[in-house]
Amino acid sequence: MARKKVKLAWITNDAARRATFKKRRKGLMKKVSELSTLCGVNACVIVYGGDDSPPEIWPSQSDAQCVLNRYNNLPEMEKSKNMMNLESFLRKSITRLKTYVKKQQRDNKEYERTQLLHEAVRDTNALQGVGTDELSDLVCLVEETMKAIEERTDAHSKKRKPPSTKASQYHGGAWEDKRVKNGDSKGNPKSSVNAAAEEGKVALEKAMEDLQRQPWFMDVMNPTRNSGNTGDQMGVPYLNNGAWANPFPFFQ
Amino acid sequence: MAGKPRSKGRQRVEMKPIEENNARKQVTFSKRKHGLFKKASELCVLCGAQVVIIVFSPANKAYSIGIPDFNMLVDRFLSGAPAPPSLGFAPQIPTVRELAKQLTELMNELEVQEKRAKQLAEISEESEEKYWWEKPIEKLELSELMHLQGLYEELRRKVAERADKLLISEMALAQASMPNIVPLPGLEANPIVRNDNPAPQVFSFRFGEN
Repeated sequence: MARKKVKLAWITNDAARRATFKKRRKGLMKKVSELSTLCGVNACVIVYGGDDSPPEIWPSQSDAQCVLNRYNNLPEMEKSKNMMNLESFLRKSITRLKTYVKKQQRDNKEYERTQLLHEAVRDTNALQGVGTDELSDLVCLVEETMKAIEERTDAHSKKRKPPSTKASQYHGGAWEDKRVKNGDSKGNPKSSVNAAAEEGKVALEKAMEDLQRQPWFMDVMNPTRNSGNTGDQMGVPYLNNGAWANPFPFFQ
Repeated sequence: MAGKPRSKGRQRVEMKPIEENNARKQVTFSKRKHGLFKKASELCVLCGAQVVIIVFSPANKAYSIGIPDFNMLVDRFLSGAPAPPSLGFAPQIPTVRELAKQLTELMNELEVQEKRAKQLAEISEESEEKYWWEKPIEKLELSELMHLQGLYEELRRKVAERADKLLISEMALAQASMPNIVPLPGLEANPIVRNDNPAPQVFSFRFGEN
């Protein structure tokens, strides 16, 4: 079907208007039928052509009458609460559209702001024609972005020492990380135990630090602090007691 | 700025009752009811039709619309009588015409904004492919992030510099039109006398080179 932009005003050309009327009336009936089926609701539509011809009715004369009766039996309040006319409906549509338009404008503004940032990164001379207001806004954007990068970087470095549910997994992880970080090419665990012993001590400290950063760690360390643990049972969900006493058991 | 996730667009919906999902049913009802009323209003404005619609919601609330007049049309329907001349012709009512015009303008505006949005999205997609640092930061590796941080540090400095220069030259311009004010230090002006007489002074400034 050819999509053409139609202005919302009376169609002056008689033939075009009649054709449009037939098409749109048919479409309207289809829509109400779909609404009724999908949502399992009662509905009726009555369309007059603006002359004396009999109306088109959905679902049928008698069914429409039933719907009308059901409607008429409602208290006046119920009926008038959601009754609309053309003006009120148009006003409602206008309000809705204004919201969409504003949102879209805002989004576009954000995009354009980011565009300027990208252009400035590529070549600072792109800032030639830019006024003081935009420039200060740009500085703000740069600072916002830098903050976001900082947060992201923090998140990344936290990821490198993942809190694990099994002691061995944890040790393995931190251990591997430390070796990778120091560019240790030896993959053989046995031979590198000694050299690793020194590294391990540093790794231990770092690991302890990282551990302390995890919120669950502090709760485990201070079971009295409302963590729901009682008495002797440390209730450590993440590290078992034995491992905790000596987090790196292979340094005997 | 992360790009918006592309939604799937219009999907074919099966024409059978929505059973499992009450929320979806209510949402569908709301949207389609609005769409139905919209089509009806267009039919009336474009073609001068006269329409009555009654819909009950899944929660049994009644929604209705009558154009140009609900009660008159219902009476006409029930009595089977011909169109009363007093019913009025919706498209010609001044408020309707005004509102319809507003609506049309808004729709055009929306179309413009949406086109622009599409354009911007395409531009950013292209440049993201060319320049890795323009990707949203969520997609960047740690090393890339740190590099980028350095870039932005540099940029901030440069932009602040330029903003300062610009500010100074703007202020100098402003001062040139206000002869009674002593110029700020930093602007090389010919020495002037702080004047009590209103005679205009001639200054010469050297603006910061761009």
